[in-house]
Amino acid sequence: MRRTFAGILFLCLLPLAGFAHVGSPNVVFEGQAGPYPIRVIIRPPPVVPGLAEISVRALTNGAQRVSVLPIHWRAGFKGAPPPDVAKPIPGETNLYHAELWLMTGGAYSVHVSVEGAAGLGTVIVPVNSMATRRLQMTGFLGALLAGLGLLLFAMLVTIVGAAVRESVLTPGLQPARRAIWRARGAVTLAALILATALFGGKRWWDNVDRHYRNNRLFKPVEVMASVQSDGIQHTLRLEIDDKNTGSLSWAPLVPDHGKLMHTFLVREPGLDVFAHLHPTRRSEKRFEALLPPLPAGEYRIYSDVTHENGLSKTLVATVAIPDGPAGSLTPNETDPDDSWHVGKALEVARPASNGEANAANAQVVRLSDDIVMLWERPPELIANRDVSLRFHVLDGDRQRVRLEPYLGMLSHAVIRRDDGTVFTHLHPAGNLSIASQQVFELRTQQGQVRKRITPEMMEKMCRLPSPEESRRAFSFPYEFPQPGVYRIWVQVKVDGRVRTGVFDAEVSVGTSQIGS
Amino acid sequence: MNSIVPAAMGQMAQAETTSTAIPRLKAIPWYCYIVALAATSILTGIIWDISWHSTIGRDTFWTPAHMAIYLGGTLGGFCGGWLVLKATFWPRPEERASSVRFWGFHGPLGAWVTIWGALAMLTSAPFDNWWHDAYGLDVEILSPPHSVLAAGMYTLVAGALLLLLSLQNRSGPAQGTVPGSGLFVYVGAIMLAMCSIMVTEKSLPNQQHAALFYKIACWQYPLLLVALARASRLRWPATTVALIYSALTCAAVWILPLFAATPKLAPIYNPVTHMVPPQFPHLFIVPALAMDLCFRWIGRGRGGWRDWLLVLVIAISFTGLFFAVQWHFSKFLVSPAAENWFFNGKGFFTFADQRGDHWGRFWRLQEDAVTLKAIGICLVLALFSTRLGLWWGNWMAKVRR
Repeated sequence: MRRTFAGILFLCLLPLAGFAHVGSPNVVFEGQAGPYPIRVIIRPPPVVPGLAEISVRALTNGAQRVSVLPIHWRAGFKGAPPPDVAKPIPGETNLYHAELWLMTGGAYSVHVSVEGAAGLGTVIVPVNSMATRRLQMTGFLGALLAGLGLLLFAMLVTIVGAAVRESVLTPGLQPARRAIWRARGAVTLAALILATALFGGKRWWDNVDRHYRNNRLFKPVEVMASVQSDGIQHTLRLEIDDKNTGSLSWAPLVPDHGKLMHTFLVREPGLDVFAHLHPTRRSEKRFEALLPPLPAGEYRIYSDVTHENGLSKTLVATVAIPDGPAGSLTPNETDPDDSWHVGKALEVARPASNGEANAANAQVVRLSDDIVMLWERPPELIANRDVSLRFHVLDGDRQRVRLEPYLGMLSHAVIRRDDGTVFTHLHPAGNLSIASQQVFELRTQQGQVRKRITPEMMEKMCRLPSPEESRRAFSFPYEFPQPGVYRIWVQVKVDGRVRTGVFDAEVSVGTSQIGS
Repeated sequence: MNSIVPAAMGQMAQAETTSTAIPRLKAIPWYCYIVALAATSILTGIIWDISWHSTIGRDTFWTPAHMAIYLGGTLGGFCGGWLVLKATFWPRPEERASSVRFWGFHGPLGAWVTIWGALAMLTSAPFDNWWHDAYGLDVEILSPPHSVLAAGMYTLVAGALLLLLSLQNRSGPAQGTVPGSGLFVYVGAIMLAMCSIMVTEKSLPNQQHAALFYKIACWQYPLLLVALARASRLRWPATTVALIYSALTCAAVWILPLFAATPKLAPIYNPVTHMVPPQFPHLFIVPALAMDLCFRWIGRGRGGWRDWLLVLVIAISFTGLFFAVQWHFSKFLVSPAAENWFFNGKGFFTFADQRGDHWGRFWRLQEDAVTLKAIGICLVLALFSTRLGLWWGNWMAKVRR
């Protein structure tokens, strides 16, 4: 029964899937705009053309002016209007707000500029622009429009009747019976003509809606997932069928942290198995990955890809993994950056006490015999409010462990709501596609709309974390899109091995800071 | 059902005369100026809004162009509403006598039509707002909610015409200038300008060597010009309407570029620096002059063989003259010689139009060629259009309430 419900829910969620992340369309970025550390949240519109909202929080004092400029990937700087100045939000410190006009579908780069005493700093935040919603009319509005329409209909036919009956009469004369009957005939005829016009209008509306659904509404990318077995090992195969057209169509991919595809597997319904794999491309739309020794079960698959036009997508599928063959893979046989975790991490009863960590709200899980991960859990997590999820990795002496870069980052996190309505892949820089950001930086450096982006060009854009950063606490900026229970998997690399900490979080109801 | 009509209802096919005498007007009533102002405000708002979208791109509900349109709707609606309330609750005898009945209320036909137009404009607002939320911000100019708005605007202007007509037709002799006749052709010219704006996207100078432009013109313009000319009491009504239309459009062509503005929406392919004006007006003046001459030669008597002769002669003259004049004039308009403030040769292209050689040549010459068959279709359309225009004009010439 539960599985059936989950299946129905999955079908309901398909319209949300396919664009970057699932049920979490807002883009969150935290990083440097020149000398200024900032956090940016972009809330894209559900239809295009539409207005996106952007909030920029300066994380230190000194910012005096914040401006934003969205640039479509195909137009470039040459076709850009002057940037908009973001206005400070009353009652908030260092929080600015602006609206962005996204006029066409496809990837946009939002150039966020901060000016202050330390000069000018700019950073690029990519955002997908695509229609993702089919709006139904509310009952009240429908009734209001129907009432007004009926009134207009009745008035118009009455006007026709009055025009035929008495408009040409000399003032003071009363209409003759013949004129009255002619007016009645005219009213009937006008009603028929008007009804025909309304019928035509309804067909016109239906055509517009059909065109919107077929050509402008983003279509979830269909992925056929299967497990192939040769008796020795299991291979996960993903076959992609993208029916989107124009700027949203399937374009060449660019590597993100050196990988064309990042695939996450989560076992349903307990969310007790997690894997982070990197399938290899076998053809343009077929990818394969050797499966690690995962326990059998129904798995939900999420695959992140980034196109060379800057568009990022999350492909969603389900697959049933059978029991592993006798000679299942060992870690040495898979992609060296693949990782997996079975079971919820063991929670340590006694919170760690570290000078910087807030022990009162801390939650600690064990990563190995002598390493723990500590989450400085905020007192309250509220939906639609930006939050920093801050973690420490400590050794037996409660000292910070040196983290090694894992896929070019110090840490990765995956967040999923328990019912599957939300999925997102986070980095310390936020949930944006780093590859998309790099693509736009490349295009900006070139000063033109570059047609092709090569892996070598992307490789040069990668920046590894500094040694100083590797011994610091790390955090993920995020904005939970809805209340509920979430599971968070946090991955770090220590002593050459990827370790995964698993946490649960309950998020309460809240409203947007901008709207509130 | 109504206290005024029972006597008439009880008698067969005879109009009953009441004792109301309509005093002859010496001055134009205030409401005529208000509805003419409302029509002017709507036209100004439409031209301004198109220029706004062509230049700046982004807009809100509160742009001055939108305010001008809604001011026109409000003025027309309230004016019509007041006339109805006055004629229903506090009427002078002549006001009640020159009203039509409507759900127990009384008022001039034009007042009811302006009220309908204002209500339609009002209805379009929440519909359009929902449409933006559902399908995006103004993806296409021609959408169902915009059609409701356009229907409201056209109807409101038509109501203004009817108010002025009833005044004209109740005043003075059947020939010659009477109070309201000048305002009537002025509002008629506004209607002509609105009709031409409606088909702007198919009427650019670069499209004036394709058959579609002439098919649209031969269907749309004879109907309106003939109806206005038939209903007007001026000596040269069609010519006057065409002249006022040209003056209004030229005013927009010459005034809008005086204001600096830059695009605020990406992508910008044509970095304009001033408000983008409309294209130079069509040369309706020539076929309109021919139309007036036809009316003068054949006569203004209504019905019978004269009307059919008028249909034939006007349709042929309009098709032939408009084709000949606009075909050659458009050659000039797409040439570099027209690139000046007066003719606004290529100045009507928006910030989103990609510059290129195609700006200086005609489009769809092969796909939509002007052939003998196309000209024949234009003539047939003009015949239908003129016939309908004459019927409409004959009715308008009799409207007295």
